[in-house]
Amino acid sequence: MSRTEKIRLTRRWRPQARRARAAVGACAVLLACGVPARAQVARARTPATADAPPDASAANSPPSAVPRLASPATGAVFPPVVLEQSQPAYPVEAMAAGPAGDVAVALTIDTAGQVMGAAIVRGAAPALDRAALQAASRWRFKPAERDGVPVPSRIQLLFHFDAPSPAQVAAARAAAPSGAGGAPAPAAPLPVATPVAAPPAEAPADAPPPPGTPRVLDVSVVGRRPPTSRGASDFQIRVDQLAAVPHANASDMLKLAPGILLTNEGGEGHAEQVFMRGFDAREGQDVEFTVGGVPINESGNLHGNGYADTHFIIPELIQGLRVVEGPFDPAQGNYAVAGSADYQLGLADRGLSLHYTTGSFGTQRVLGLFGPEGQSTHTFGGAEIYKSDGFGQNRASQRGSAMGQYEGRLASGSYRLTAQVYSTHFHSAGVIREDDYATGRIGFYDSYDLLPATRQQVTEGGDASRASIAADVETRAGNTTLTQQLFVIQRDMRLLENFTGFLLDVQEPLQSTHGQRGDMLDLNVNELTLGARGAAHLAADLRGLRQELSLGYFARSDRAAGTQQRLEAGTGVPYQTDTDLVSQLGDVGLYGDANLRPWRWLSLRGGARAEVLTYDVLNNCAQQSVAHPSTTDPPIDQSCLTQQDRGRPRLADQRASTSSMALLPRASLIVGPFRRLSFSASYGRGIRSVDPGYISQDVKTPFASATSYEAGASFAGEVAYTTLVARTVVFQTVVDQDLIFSQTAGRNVLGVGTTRTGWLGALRWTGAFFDESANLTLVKATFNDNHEAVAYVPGAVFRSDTALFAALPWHLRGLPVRVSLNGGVTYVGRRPLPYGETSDQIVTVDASAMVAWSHYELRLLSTNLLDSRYRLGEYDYPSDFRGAAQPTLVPERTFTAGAPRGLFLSLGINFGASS
Amino acid sequence: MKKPRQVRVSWWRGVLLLPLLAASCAGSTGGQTLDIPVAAAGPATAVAGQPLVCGADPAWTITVTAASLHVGAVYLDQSQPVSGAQSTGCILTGTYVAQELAPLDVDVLSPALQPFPALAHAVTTPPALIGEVWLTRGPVDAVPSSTPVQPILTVAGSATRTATGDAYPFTGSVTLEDNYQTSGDAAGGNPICKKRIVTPIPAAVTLAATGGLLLRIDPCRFFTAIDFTALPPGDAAGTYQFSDDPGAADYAPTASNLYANLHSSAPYTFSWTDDL
Repeated sequence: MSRTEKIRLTRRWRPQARRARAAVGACAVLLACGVPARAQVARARTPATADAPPDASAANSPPSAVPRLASPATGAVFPPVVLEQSQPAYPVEAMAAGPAGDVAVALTIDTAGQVMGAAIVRGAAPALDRAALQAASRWRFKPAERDGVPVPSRIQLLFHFDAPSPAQVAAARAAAPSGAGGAPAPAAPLPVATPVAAPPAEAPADAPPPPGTPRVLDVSVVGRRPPTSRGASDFQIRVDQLAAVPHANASDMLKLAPGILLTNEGGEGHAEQVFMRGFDAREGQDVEFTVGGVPINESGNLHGNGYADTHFIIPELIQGLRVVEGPFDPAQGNYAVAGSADYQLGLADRGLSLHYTTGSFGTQRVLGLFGPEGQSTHTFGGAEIYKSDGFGQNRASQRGSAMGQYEGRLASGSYRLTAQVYSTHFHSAGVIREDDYATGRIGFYDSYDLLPATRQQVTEGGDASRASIAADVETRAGNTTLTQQLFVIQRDMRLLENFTGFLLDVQEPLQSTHGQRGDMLDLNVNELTLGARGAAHLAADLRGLRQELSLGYFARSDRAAGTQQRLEAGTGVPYQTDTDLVSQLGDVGLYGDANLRPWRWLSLRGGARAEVLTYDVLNNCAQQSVAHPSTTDPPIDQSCLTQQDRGRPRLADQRASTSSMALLPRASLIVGPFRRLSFSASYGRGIRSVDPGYISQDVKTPFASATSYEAGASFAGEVAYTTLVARTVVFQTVVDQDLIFSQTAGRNVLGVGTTRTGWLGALRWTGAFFDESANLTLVKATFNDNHEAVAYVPGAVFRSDTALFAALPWHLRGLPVRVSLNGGVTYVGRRPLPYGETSDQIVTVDASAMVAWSHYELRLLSTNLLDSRYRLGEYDYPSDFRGAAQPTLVPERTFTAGAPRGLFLSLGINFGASS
Repeated sequence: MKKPRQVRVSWWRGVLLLPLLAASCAGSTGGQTLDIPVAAAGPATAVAGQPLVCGADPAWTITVTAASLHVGAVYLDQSQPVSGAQSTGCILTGTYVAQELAPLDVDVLSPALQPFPALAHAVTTPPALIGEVWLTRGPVDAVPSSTPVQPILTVAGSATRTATGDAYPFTGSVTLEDNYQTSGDAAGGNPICKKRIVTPIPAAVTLAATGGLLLRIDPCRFFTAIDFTALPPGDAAGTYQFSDDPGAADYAPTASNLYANLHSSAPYTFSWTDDL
């Protein structure tokens, strides 16, 4: 009996028409979620190739070693790849009756890639069935492979036939040979099969093959509707082999998209600071982050409205990533100013696998992954336990994370249930002053928190936790696809940060006498989010070309409670309350999105989004100073005052509420492809809601808005049996109120408007033994009022990820031995700093090597292979860490240290079956 | 003769590198960060090694024979001084644009530039508007600021009353330690740091990459509106001495005025000089 191995892919594939007159031919529905760039090349191939399960070489850097293990018996599997396709024309003999419908054809493909059998799985009409069979029989493939060896396979194709128009029927009759012997009329243009979203394919029934028949690999495909590309800045990234390149965490995966720089001054549990195409998006406030459509941005987070911590995502469960650099998709919502990033989860390897990683800095990580046999790659479970002493001083951390998802089939669609829980406790070294380091007062990897003169009873760091559940369903009825998702997110965070040392606790006239007690900020937030999103997608054919319309909505309600206090250095006792807010926030968006194709070579995509934001903010510490306090009852050391000017009484709290609506047009024009080249231009507006702390009663526009433009070109095609996707984009974004980081406030504050102008180039090149992704972004960011550079934004960012993989020419106990070498190179150009300074350049190299055999995988990873001593974050602002007898009040360079070289060893064992 | 080695770069490599080179020019955020020399000196009209004669007060001719001032730190700030009844903290709001943190004992009778032992850290934007002179031997909030306790200012000289020709030889010192610290619940309103910091001093100077910051101190201004006839007697017969104890009965009015003049902006002038 044939052993059925299902490869589940979730992208809808549209084959590329070969003849100028012809409409799109047959289609096979095989696409993975996220529509990777590579999948765009797969237009002339079976989509299965774009979603081929990665070889057993995936890994991330410690602490996240990504396992991709060899199946013990069958090894890694690749589905067949279309090399030549043939499109059936509407049969002339059926013109009179004019039937229409879908014909599903099962093809059996031999080890040479030839079609050795074709059978109708589901027919529409005899003539249509014959036409489909004849066309399908002429398709040619690169055969499926298991462990690098070609194997027979079975795959389904779906052909859609539209009914001929009366004119076409008349033309066909006129073209029929006449008894008078006249010259035949020219062949009339005939309708051809057009692509449709195929329903979930069903695996052919297993039947015992005759003796000697080679085992046939059944490729069964189910798919979900992928998002529509918005042009050259829409990066659908399939992780694939590049998972083997060391990536520290989920945020690190963003670097597969161009122009991304990540820094972190807050420790392992603190969200990364993201720079995207000239935007300092801080901890995600200018980027809309989602995981499987579930929001990650936290509305109402005191540290920054829109704070996005992705550390809860287990990197090995990231199958793909869609990064749209710019607000060009009407489905993008709040915070999509620089763009958006959606993590798509999945686990290709089936079975149970365990991984243990150990190495530098006392790092230990245990990871368990489970992919039930016979289930979709979107059904999985994963759990991770991690601890590290961190490099240098005060960087220890521990975390635990668990994620699970189940994908079930419906009669006309699928549903998913997702749950995750995450918790972490971490420490942070904080910043270092350049002058203190230069004089030897403090080491490069040290922390002021442990220095005798600046010792803190409570050191920097924090805690964070997140729990969420989500359910979504996608169903299809004819040409209509409906999606609906519900989610609940609970999030808690504590951050302890001290950027300024002992600077801000200035003696005020009415306070008790005190010296500088220290500027340690103790911030705590607790948030609950309820939300939903849904969309209806309608498709219709016009002149043989697919036209689409989507109507969608998004809604979320957030309740956030946050406090920020200052702690005394020697005792850890809070001595001042800076902020105490309770916020109820609403965000409802409604959008319409069209994908029109007036001609085969022209696509017009876009629409508009209307977003309503509501705020109801209770400030429990509204009055913090008075000009003329009561002489009989002065506030002395109180933080939250119960008196106004001249001692008039009031309550300490104050409520403010407001709402506002934004209309956000977005459009993309895509021309091509012409000889695999496409050109695009896009325009869009995005918004970012402001911090609740800025809300006053009925303020008109509680959001910042950005307007983006771009133009680009893309190439996608096969080059000498390799797949190449390359693109070049020029872009500009104008923001009316940018976010500028305030070290004294410990978070972003609203500033003036800015403009970013730049260029990016990116390529993804994959072949039988390699996978290369490289990108370069050049950008200039300036303030609109004085045209000076925006501080901290790098002008140049380059990233290369390379994976080399192969099966060794010999076998061990009959099983192949696979190896891979992987590397990542990052270059960050000088960044402008305040007061005319510039930062250092950053060059880092990460690498890993892997050997896999049978159930086992051994991996050696190195981060910062060259052991570069580099300043990851550089700043220039006033601080005083008691380096002199008198306070240091003038802005001085400060930095956070990048990690030194780390070496890690990872061992993985798979107890499962297959991938 | 050996020809100098010629280095050529392939043009195509230059084209490829050009974007990176262009991008490596990160753009300017405006202004500059500098390390500048700072010096202090007495009046430009003084003669080195000679007593300083102060004749501005028609009632007195004051001959200062010795005057030494300990300057603990010097700052420049962008803030405009805040007028009105509201008191300010010891650290002003706004950006400090220059700081000289190394202390210096200044002979305020010498016109020669006396450089501070370390360069001052400075930024050129925003422009400086006011200066501060910190009169402290240690941390500005600490009492005592140093061990042993030492005076900030020492003066000696002789004042001749114009009307009578009577001479009043005097000495004096000002020590800003616990003797100037206010006790009680309202101490926060008048902390020791405010007693030690002279601010605001007009200082609209433009910082540059060449030259340095000059602080001139005029000791004649220490004796403005002082009635030497009210001075208490000194240790030696026929001499007089300013009190250094604000709680003493003979502190006012003379010593009180001496401290008030020391703590005012009048004796201090900031300028930019090319002589550093």
